[in-house]
Amino acid sequence: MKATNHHPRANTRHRKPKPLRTHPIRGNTPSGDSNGTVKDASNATRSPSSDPITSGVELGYRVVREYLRQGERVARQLWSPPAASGGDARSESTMLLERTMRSVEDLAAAFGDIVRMVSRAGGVNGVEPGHASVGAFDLNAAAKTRTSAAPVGAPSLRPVVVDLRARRPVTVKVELEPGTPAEALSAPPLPGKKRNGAQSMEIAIAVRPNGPIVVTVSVPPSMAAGRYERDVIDVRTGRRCGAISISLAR
Amino acid sequence: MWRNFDLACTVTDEMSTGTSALVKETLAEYGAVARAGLAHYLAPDEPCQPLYDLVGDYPGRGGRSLRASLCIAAARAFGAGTTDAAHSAVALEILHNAFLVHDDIEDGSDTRRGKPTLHELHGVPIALNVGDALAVLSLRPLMGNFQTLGPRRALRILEETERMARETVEGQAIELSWRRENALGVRVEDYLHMILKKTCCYTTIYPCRIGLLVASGPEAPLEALTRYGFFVGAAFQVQDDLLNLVGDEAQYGKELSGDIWEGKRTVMLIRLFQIATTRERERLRRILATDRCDKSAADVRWVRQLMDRYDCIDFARRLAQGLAGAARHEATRTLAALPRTRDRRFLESLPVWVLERA
Repeated sequence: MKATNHHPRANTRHRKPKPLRTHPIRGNTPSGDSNGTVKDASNATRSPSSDPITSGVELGYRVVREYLRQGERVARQLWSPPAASGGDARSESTMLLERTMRSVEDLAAAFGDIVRMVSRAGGVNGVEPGHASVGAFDLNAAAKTRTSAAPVGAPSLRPVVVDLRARRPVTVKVELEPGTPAEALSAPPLPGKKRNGAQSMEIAIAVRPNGPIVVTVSVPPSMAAGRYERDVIDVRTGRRCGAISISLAR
Repeated sequence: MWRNFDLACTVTDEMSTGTSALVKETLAEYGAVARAGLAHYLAPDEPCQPLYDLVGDYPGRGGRSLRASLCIAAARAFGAGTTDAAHSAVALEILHNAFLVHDDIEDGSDTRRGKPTLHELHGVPIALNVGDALAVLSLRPLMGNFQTLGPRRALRILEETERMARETVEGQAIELSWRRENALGVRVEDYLHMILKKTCCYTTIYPCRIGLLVASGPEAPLEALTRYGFFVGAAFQVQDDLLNLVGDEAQYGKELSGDIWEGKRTVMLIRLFQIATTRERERLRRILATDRCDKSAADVRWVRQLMDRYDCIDFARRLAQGLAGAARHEATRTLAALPRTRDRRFLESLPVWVLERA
């Protein structure tokens, strides 16, 4: 006898549960609203694809396109001239001239600000372009692959400005210990080659009241290429309170 | 010295390095540059131990320096040197750490990079102040750009950084508002829009854009790299959400299922809400409306099991694959004309690495 659904044993058989859905859910449909009200998913709008790869990429392009469009819109608003107000050509040209003048003034002021900002940040002062550079931080330390960001060679509280007098590429690095007394500092000169009767490389450290510590380095033309180091000394106590390292290119 | 370094990094196709190894190696190398910068810029200006000891805490815990590395690699791929991009890279890394400190407070997270979060260790007020300090300190390296890149480029990068930071906090605001309002109608499209702002902008889009600006100046064509940055960042975020559920806790560095505890609207949760039954959705709504501290482990387990039952993990995995594929496509389109340097290969390999990372 064939077993059919009408067989008495069929009543105890494990049956496949009724499916939760009978049609594909085509992804990305909101199931409720932002107020926390739950709605049935079947009421939600359908997106064109149920495959997460396809729909994800489609949606991704849509989102990034909209983002770029917004950026363009903002940029256009920032840079385009104001809409025509019905004024005559003369008043428009006057307005344009005024705006141009204002822009030039702003630019000059901004440039002044930038120069001041760079000086305050411990940058280069009085250096001819292409003749010298000052490293803002020691990238060579990367080679040591430190895992801790513990302070190393902590800079002095006061800003340091390097005034470099040189006719070739020079890198100067100044490290002062925290709490360095900003009063009387010195660094011994670095002698040049004696056989040529060459001059020394002079290092002068001036401290301006309430201003930066100015380190003036004068490099004579005969100075040999290489790396030079000098301690910074507190003149009153004779204590070492930092170091200056100077790298001279050929 | 840096010129020599630049040349040493230029490799050809013959270099038989696997994708993952190439990415790891590049991250290690540029990460070291970033760490040197962090050590410099996070050094104390004065003996103020309560601040500066803690400012160095998160950066000192390791991390991949992905943002800094992307910035340096993008700059180098387009012809600049490491030194040119170093200041911007360090600024990105410091800002990232600032966001992490504040994110951990906002999310009520317990662990970060395998250790207790800063607010768990020192309390919320101190952690908030450290986050503020890091955000402020991230401006300092950007000043360095005036020296290395000149005022025009430096100002342009400052503008980009301002927009990046603004987009990021806007994205975070969207996510926090979803949680506060217990938003249940969030769609995948909304999620992608949110992570574009919250994650992609500061993780991938702007590091790439800034790298390109370093190399090409204010007229750089940024649009294509924005698309690449978005797709690779989105794949990164979806994968990160997945790792939160299925990753190795020791490697992942955060608590598993933490996103469910925090009620974060991840792709898996969004998908679950789309396909769960009405009764399940109602229970889900109640669980999500409960504060983290009042949720039970059984509730979290139930949500997690429901995600498995409805293949939400697989859905998210496939979404991440699609996004990574689009990122690769954008990389090919954008970088095709560039020399085949290691940096170009790093950018091309990143979408694959994003999916492979544990």
